[in-house]
Amino acid sequence: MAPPPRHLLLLLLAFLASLATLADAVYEDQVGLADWHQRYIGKVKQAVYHSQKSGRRRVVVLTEENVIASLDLRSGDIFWRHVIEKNDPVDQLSLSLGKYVVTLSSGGSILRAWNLPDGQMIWETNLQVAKSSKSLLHVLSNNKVAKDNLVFVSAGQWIYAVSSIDGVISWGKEFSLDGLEIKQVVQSPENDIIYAVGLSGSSKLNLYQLNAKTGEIVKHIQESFPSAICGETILGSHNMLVALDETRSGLFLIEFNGERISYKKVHISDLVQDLSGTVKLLQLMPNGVIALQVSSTVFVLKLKGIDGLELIQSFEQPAAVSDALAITEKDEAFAIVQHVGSEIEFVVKLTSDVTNEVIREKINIDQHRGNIQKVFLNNYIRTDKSHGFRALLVMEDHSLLLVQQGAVVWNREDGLASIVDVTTSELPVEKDGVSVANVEHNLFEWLKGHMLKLKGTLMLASADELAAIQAMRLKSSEKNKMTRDHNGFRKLLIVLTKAGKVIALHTGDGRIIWSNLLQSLRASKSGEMPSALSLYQWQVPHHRVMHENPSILIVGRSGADSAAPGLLSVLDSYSGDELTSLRLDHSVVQIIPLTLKDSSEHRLQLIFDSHSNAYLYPRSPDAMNVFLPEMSNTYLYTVDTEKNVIRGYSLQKSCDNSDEYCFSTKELWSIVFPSDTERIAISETRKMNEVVHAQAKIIADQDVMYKYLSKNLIFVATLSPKAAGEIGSAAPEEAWLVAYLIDAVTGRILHRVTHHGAQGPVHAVVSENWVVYHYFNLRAHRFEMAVIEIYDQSRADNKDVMKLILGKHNLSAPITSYTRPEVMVKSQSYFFTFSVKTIAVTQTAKGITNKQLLIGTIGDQVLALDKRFVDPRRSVNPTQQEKEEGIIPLTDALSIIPTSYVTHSLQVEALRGIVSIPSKLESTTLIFTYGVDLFYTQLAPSRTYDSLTDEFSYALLLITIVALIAAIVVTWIWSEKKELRDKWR
Amino acid sequence: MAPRRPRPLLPLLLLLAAVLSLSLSLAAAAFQCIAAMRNPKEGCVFLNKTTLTKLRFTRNELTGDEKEAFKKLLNEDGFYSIRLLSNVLDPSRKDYVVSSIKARCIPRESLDEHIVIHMDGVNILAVNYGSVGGCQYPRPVKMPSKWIFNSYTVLKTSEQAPRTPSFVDQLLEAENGLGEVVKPPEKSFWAKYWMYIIPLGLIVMNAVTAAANMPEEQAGGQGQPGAQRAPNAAPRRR
Repeated sequence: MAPPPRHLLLLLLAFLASLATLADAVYEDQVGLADWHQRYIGKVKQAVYHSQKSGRRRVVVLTEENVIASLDLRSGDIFWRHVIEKNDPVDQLSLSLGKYVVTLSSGGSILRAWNLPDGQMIWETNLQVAKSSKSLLHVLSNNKVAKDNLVFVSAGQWIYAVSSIDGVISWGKEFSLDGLEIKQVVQSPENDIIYAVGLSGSSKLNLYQLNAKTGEIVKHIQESFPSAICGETILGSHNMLVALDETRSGLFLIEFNGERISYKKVHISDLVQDLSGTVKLLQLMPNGVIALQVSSTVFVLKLKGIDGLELIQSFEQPAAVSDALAITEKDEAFAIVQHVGSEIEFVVKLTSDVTNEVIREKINIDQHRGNIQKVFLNNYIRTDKSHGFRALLVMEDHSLLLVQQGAVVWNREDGLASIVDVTTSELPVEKDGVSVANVEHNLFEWLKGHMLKLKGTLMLASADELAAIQAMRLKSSEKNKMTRDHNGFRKLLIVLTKAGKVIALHTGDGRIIWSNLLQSLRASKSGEMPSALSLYQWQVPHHRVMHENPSILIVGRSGADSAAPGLLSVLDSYSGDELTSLRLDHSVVQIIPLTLKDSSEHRLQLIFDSHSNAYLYPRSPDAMNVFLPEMSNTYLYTVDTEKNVIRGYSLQKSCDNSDEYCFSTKELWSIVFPSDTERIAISETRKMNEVVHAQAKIIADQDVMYKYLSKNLIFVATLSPKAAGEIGSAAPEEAWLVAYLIDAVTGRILHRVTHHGAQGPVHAVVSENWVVYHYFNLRAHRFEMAVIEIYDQSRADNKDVMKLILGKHNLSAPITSYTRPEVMVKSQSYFFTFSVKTIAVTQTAKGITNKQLLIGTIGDQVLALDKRFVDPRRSVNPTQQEKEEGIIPLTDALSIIPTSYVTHSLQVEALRGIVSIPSKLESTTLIFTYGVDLFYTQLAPSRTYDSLTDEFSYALLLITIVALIAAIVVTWIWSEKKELRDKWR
Repeated sequence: MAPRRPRPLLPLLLLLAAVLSLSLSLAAAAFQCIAAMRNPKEGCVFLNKTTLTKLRFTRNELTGDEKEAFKKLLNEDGFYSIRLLSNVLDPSRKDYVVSSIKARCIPRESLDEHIVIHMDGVNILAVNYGSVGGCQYPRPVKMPSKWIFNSYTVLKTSEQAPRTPSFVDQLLEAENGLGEVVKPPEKSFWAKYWMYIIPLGLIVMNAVTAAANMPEEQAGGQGQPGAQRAPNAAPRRR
């Protein structure tokens, strides 16, 4: 037989190679090897337990991240979960008929019912209400009254009755009284009458009696009060209302029945001795017990009809009181949780007998969880028919704990649902003789594992063994070690959460290594709420200080206002201990990490305050000495989206105050966008730590284009005022987007281009010499991605070889921003299918590997799109040379290859950010994605060309070599023998 | 192609008369903007944008004091800034666009400056100020021989982004005229089937040589058994 023609073979090989580049996805059995996914819900604001009869131990919670979830009470696992969009905030949650979860969202205008066991939506009803008012949800508790259990929704002057079976509005009523705001909806226990209690003006209380079935007004009673009511009301019991008066010093006890309203005023000072600070009513369910908060003290008072109140107990914050829980027909229980030393005390009392305690338990909890903020009480019946109690506790760091019988059964670290900023830290170097992790196998296990793997590769393994191999691969001890690895895959992801907690996660499996709720970022007693801003590397030990631990800098603000004084805190990256904490006497508007380091390897940071002064940190003479020579080359800029101005500054030596680390600034340039035609939508810069490998790009005809690689490039996109709204709110003629490329040192506009008929939202990413931005094209009715690449023309003459030889080139000339650059810009736009939440770009150690855009899609997945697809040089018919260079023929839309989803089948709910961290291996980058969920994976944009994959079977290679050597030896012996025999013949 | 929006700023003459007015302190010198334009009511209005027909800037001569100030700036290696009103029609809005350059970049023979003004309708978005040629830093002090400003001015408006290419029309065309799709040029019989013919030919050749060898072998093989049989047969008969 003749050998197959070589052409065919080559063709086949080429075909296989092309397939290999396309298939850039993980196989099913590779899921979980290098990636992990964690699901969270956020800080719980409301929790409703399943009724005991249903037998399921579950709780439905509503969180501040707008998540509705059903949790298992035994383990805290999520049964089902819905992440509702941010523009539809869910305010209320309730159970209906024992099988539906009813939620009220968007200020009382959307009512939804979800199936309790599996979380499917049963129905959704839109209600027309005044948006500004506070909405109330009231589910009829007993179904004796109306057959189809009604759900009442009230907001402002509106009240609706909706059938909880199918969501049909049975009636809706708008009260004609001006300025009426309904405060409570109460159900009469006897007949099918509901009471709607509302305030009109500041001192008129209105009581409407409505027929629950038809909505007609049976009676309307109005009562004027001698003094104004501040609007805070709570229901004391089924016919008692407690209202706080305007001065917040007196309480009105209002009793209503079918006929009349009667009231009595009680002075708080009569009940409580030292009255200082503002009085607040704590919203609790009606049970005849009310709670008052006066500055930091909580008073629990018992309501004795209209006659008055009796003080039961008072305790200092931090403490929390639960809603009342009906345990028998008559009796209700409530819980008080407070901190006693390092423990928390969990006390349950009955409303009928408030002096006795049903339970008093002391529970030990982690100190890094902060104070107790909320408690949700639940009861169960023990085997001896007595009542047992369990409670969900919401802590200051947003974590959720279940306590039962004096112990924490489980906890959920739900602060991770609200990550503010992410940075990474290297792990310690492995020292000889010290095994940092105790996950090492013994020799026998190791051998057994390798034998199993070998069996797997030789296809001799049974199904059980295959499963064992898979489990072994997933639990590979190698990736979970607490030491640095050769490839730089093992790192600590340090995240800062909204609650002010810093958490370090291991990249191997996402477990929490340490966490620290920062004291300076906790709410103080005076009521100011500090906000966490960002994380920076503070000290990265290198040559000179090799033996110190790296540390990170946390920047915060002591209030919500941007002029509030700043807070700095430095943490040890390995242990999480706070090294220093600093309260600044200036505000923090912008933090500029400089590229400079002082002699102890501290990174220098400039903090820009609201008075346009810059402060240098760390405050040491050493840092100052390093900084001063570089000061004249340091420029800052600010983007003021309110005033529509971008300003650039240089630093000057002294401040007005005597602070020697303070520098005043001088405005160098400004760009003023006309507010009536353009509003700043987004400004983006290159990542400071980005590494670029190639200065130039060699294009098809052996020509060279020099990239304009300036660290000072800012991309700014402005939108016409109408185009900033929602899609569809502006006509194509009145919507446009202007993209700017600006040099941040001189304020030079390098490029400016207008897209007519374009509308926001705009998302952009800047890397190397290009910008990719995403917007909506109103004319084409599609999303678009546009790319701008910027090239330096002034260096274009350098490609002349003769000049190079003669030394007439300007390659060695330093590049300065003072010189006017000659740039050339190439741009192109493409249609893109998706709406986008965020865009990032892959970062690698040396910048050699091709870049991929990481697009957070509207479906909460991350799509890796090769930069080659968004190349402005794509043409309809690329020449042969261009094809060789890798230019893809021009298409109007960017194709989405389903296998290029980085998140494969998973979703990162409410995706907010994507971070790419270079590993030591050039081909591979680490991707961390956060939203309500967390997702981490490794990505090789150009495949792992510099290492063998984990899948590579070393055993097979060894066996092959051994077999080959054996074969060589055997055949050699044979041939020797044969030769000998031949010689004897 | 969609109809393009008419450029709002078509007939714009920019006259730049000489010599600056260093009216402000050390670093900031103001351009006097004499916006000589038509009455906005008369002027044609496109999309609520007034069209300027003429915009004139003048630069006043340096006074003696200003000259000294400039020299001081050169010695101190400070920034020389210029500013323009951001809205030329409405000077009451005191928004200025500012631009700066190191003062040492400007002096050559005379004072050479290069100004790029970015405009949008009647608004001046930004002004970019710089030297005419390159300006390498650090730079020694050099005093100009002539204290006269040589100004070069460029006016820039926004570029229009090209429309996203759409191949839907082409695709539709292709679908409509399915039959007219250009067929690839007909290849010769040999060019199409050589890869089958060559192996086939080889096999045939192989077979032919095999067939040619066969009769010889058979002839040899048949001869021998016959020869052997004869001596065997003989003893039996015996």
